[in-house]
Amino acid sequence: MKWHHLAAFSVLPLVVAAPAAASDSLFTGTIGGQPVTLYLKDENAVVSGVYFYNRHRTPIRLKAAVTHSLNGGVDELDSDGLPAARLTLSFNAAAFNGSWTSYRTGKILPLHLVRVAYSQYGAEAVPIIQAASTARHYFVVPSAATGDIRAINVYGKSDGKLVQTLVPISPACARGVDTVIVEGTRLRTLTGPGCTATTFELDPSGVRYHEIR
Amino acid sequence: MPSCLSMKKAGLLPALLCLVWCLPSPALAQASPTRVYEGTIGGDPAELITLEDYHNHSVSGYLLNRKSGHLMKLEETPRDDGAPLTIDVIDDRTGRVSSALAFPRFTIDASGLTGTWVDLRTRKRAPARFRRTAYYTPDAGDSYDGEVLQGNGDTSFLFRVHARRSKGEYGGLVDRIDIYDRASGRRVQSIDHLILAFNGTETLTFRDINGDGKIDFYAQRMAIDANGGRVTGNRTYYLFDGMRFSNFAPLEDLQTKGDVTLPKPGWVDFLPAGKTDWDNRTQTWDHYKFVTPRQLKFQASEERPF
Repeated sequence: MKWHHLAAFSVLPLVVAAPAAASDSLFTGTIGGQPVTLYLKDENAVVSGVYFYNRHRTPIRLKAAVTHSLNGGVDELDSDGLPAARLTLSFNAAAFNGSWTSYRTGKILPLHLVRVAYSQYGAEAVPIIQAASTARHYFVVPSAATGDIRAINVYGKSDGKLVQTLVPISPACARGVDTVIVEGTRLRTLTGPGCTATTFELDPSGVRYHEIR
Repeated sequence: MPSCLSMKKAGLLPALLCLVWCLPSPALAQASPTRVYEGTIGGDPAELITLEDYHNHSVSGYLLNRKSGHLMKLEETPRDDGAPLTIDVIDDRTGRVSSALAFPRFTIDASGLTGTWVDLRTRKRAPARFRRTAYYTPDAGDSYDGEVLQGNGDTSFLFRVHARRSKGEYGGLVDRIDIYDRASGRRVQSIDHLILAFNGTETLTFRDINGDGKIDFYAQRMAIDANGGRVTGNRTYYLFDGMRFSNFAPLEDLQTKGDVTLPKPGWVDFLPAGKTDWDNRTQTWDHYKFVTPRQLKFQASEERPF
């Protein structure tokens, strides 16, 4: 993924009150030599996030952790929502070395990450990888800097290319890595104060989404 | 404690500092809201203790397998009442996460909790069911009377303190410590007629005090003034001799005369009252060493800046 393509969204006007997130970070690097992309959010002393292996691009959810407990690391969750592995991370560092440890096998892999985007209090645009995905697509919110969601990017899992940018008629509600909810062939966002729920339907060709009103 | 009277030549600021430093804390340590649940995991009797953190909106605690005496710590986890919660369980023998408790719906004040225990290595699962049996709240509007398991790294014993507080009282009082053999579950010692300050699962602090390789403990006494006000008092120390835990008065005697710290097993640092030079910002500490498991001997004095 070319993150500089997403930078255009950073110039969206700051017309909404400061977002709740204290900071957002996007990292790229490797786990066991495999390229990965990882997004972390620190909000009210709680760290949450998502990462994926660039080869598969299927988001893996990280279990929320209390910031001051982060020395022990954060868990990646399996499809049942149970801890599958532990990543030792350093949230505040621009680059760091950690480890990935499988709970099942005990296998330990080196983890190297470099921060490629960072924002405090939503001042800059940081792409937010969404935890939900479909078999063909994954989703990225280019920026929540305005406190709401003006666009959702749809990427192909097979090649990582931008397939479509969904622009809701009204700004959608920012919910971090859970902004986009996948229900079958539909994507939806939740409602909230100052923002509205939006639903997109995948067209029969299976290529593009259109908003349902 | 250092004497404020010894600073008559000092200025106003040191005097104010001393006032803050010397006086017993008017408030007792406020234990996290502590809820005790009894139940089963896969048929084995278990005890779950949740510690609520108001500030971080998180939960931590302990899980005890009552059959094996295996005590495990629950990793602090953010919570959202009514939402699913998966909380990692840390094996006290390895210090690593070994299993998890997954609740499809977790509410901090629930009277009962139903979920699944998962061995993270084998992925083996077992049903977990708990019923709340006690609630120890810092809220003076509530009372409590019960035993609270202590979180500790000792692999031989489990410790429970009997804590009580009536409505309207500030600060719970611990009047008894019960010590159990982990393997058999049998109570091996009771220490009673105590007046200690209750601090939840951290009422007792475990440490090898005398350097003999065995875990000892200390606790904070509770001082009750003429008006019934409860304040934190000096520490009381108990050393394990291989058979029993017994009070070690010399350390308490030292504490009545100054500040006591435990820098490393077998060593005690003591700051006598009046040994603080506020003009030069130095303190004269005395170093003591346990020359036998129950004999403390002065070694040397050292002047330190502060």
